[in-house]
Amino acid sequence: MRTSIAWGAAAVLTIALIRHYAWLGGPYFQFPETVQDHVWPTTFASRDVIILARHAATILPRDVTVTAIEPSLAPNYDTTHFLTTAGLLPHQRAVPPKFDAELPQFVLAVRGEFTHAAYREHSSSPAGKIYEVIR
Amino acid sequence: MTDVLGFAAYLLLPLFGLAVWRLEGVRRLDLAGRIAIAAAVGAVVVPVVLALLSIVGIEWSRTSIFAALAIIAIAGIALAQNINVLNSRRSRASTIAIVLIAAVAIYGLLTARMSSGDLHFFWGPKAILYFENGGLTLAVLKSTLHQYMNPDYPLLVPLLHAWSITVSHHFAWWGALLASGIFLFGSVAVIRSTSGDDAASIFAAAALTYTAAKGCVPGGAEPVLLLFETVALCALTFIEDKRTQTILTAVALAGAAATKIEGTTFAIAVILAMLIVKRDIKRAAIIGTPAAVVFFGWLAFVTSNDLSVVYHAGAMPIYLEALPRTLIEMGRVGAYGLYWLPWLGAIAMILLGNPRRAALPIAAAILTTGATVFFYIHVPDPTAWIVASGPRVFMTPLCCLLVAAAASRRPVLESPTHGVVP
Repeated sequence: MRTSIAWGAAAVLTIALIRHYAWLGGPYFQFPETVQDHVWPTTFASRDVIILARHAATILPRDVTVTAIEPSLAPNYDTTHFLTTAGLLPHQRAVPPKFDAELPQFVLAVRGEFTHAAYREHSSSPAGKIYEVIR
Repeated sequence: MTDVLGFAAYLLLPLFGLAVWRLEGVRRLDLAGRIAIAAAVGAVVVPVVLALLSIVGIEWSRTSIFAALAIIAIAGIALAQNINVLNSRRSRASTIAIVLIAAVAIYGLLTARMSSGDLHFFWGPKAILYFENGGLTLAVLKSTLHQYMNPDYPLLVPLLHAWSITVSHHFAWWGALLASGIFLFGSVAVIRSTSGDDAASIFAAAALTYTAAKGCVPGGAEPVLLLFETVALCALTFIEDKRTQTILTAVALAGAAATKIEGTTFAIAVILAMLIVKRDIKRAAIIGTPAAVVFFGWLAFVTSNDLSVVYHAGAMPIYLEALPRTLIEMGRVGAYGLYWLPWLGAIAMILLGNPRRAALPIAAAILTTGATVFFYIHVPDPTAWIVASGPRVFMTPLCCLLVAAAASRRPVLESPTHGVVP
């Protein structure tokens, strides 16, 4: 009886796990671009930040200050976006998304245009756009 | 290549914990259990070495870190030599079942279906920050960037990741994610090896994998925390050699306390469970001392350097009126979308065995659940907090019940070989 319960429950849990995987959505047999691709059925904005930050790592100068935002969240930006860039741009300086004092030199914007008088578009990729401060 | 090397760093962890193979109670376990226990010890040794290098002012480099760890590994290999490898007498069907569940887990990890945002939000960035800084310094811990990364979280996990970066040179995001699988199935190996209960081990493998996926746990701190918790509980519950029990539990509880605040809660729960069930104050004090040193040392450090964030929560008021809502929400989230099957399965196995044999892990499950309720009622409406953290946090009491499920079967005074033949 005890063994049957263990095996039966393990089988149900494993089937439920596979169902959970299916619920998270496809593609099912393709290596994802980031470790956040299927955390939830809808894609996290931070997943776009990861891809944009990888692009930024190839073009931004060393030691510049960078932040990352989802413009529609202004002024309460999600700080996990700039923290994500901290891990992917170790040769630049990730700074919090604050635009009231010392401005970040570069802004990575995902899921929307960043309109700010002090910034102009620097470059873009399918994941979002990079803006640089106007000196 | 970065991910392969970064993942290899986690695979090397057992090398740094090999010395525990000398212990009588570990020597009698099968190979999988011994490797998993050595990995848990290695997961304590490596962060300690990295922290000590910084404390004595030696900058992290491949040379300094490899040299320090090589000495430990060579000493461990020397100590582990001439130990007879024992043949496991496990059922082939149960091995196949666990391998199949592991394959489903690996699929989930490799397709980012078992993944946590926290890896990119602070665990990974913290490790990179420390590595790029050449070690832990007060300046980096107090930096503006670090202030945003839960600055008072204990350091074990980012230090483990920093070790991985040392090997791979760049942070291995996939390597860190896959390492969670090692820790989760290491826990299963420990339960199986120490208890000798194949049925409970299969159930534990399925329950841990399912709840880890639902709780978005891999990539966070919980997988290694669960390994520490499993080692501590299994050592106290199944290993009869007192010296082995004491050493493994003390190391595992210290590791838990160095991983997350929930690990400290778990350590306190285990010590209290020991006092309630075993009534051995002296051993409980010895076992709890390293965890207490870790906790109070870290608390003193973060408090004196204005880094404390979560520890300040202890001074917040308690909202008893939030208790009913807390319990209802915990019940709802704890169902894991599957009618509480992970819990009910474990409880059924305990009831079909002898619950008295499982008194210690059951007491730990009750105490850690109580501690979770206590934390949640520190806010007027904890609903959102429970929804966000519950699936992860509840894995600790669940882990206690999974060990209890295995413990309820085996008579206490059975031969310590646990199905292993020399």
